[in-house]
Amino acid sequence: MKANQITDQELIRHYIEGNEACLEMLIKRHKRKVFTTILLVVNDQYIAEDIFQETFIKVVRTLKSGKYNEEGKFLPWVVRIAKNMAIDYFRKTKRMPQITSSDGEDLFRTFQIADENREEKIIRAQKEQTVRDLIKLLPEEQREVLIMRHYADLSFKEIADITNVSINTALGRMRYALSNLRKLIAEKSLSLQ
Amino acid sequence: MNANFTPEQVILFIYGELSDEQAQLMRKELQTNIQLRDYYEKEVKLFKELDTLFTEPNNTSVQIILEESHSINLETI
Repeated sequence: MKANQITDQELIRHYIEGNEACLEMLIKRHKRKVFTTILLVVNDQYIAEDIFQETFIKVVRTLKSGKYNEEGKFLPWVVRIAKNMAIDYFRKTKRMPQITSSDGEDLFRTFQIADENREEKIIRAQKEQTVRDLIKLLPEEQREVLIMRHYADLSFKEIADITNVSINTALGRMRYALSNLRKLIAEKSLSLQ
Repeated sequence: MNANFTPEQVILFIYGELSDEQAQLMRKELQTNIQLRDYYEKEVKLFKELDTLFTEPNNTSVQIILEESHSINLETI
């Protein structure tokens, strides 16, 4: 059976039974969604790496201790842990999220843009920064839904469960988030093309 | 936009969360309703911009997690 045909629950079961490779498959499957979600919450590449590690180490410990509730879906559970880890981080450090400098970010992304020339690289980085800045301007509740739906790939039902609101409220917040993003783009006369 | 479809339904359609029946109706409507198609295309364009922010963690982070998993002694948990 191919890796992408195996469900999360099957991978978890095999991992708990001792197949360590299944953890790697789970991380590979979800790392992009989880990491981007964390990064958009904390706005710092280095802190995001730390929280990503702490999140999955907690996942590992919970799975190995037999405390994982199989009734829940894996990704929403991981995102919930990551969200709590990010909140804990800000509580402990008493600092607010800040935008990471583009220099710091480039260190991690060199492999992705090695084939681009310098000008393309700068334009792409500026564009990404613009989108990130615009997301940061959204009201907290709208930003939260946008990140969880678009980047964490959670359904509106799963978002509603995590944020303790109705599905319609989550959906409405997403609608306004998108609408506000478009307005911000227009107000700033930005072209994202 | 269209009396039959709300902006929320367009969002659900793009994310694949609309029911099969509703999605089928939406696809049909998009072929003829210019206003709906215009709204849909604007949303899709914005989603593509949002997609540019997807980022992967450093491989070192993944290795640290895998090593931690190997090192955990079940009896100590």
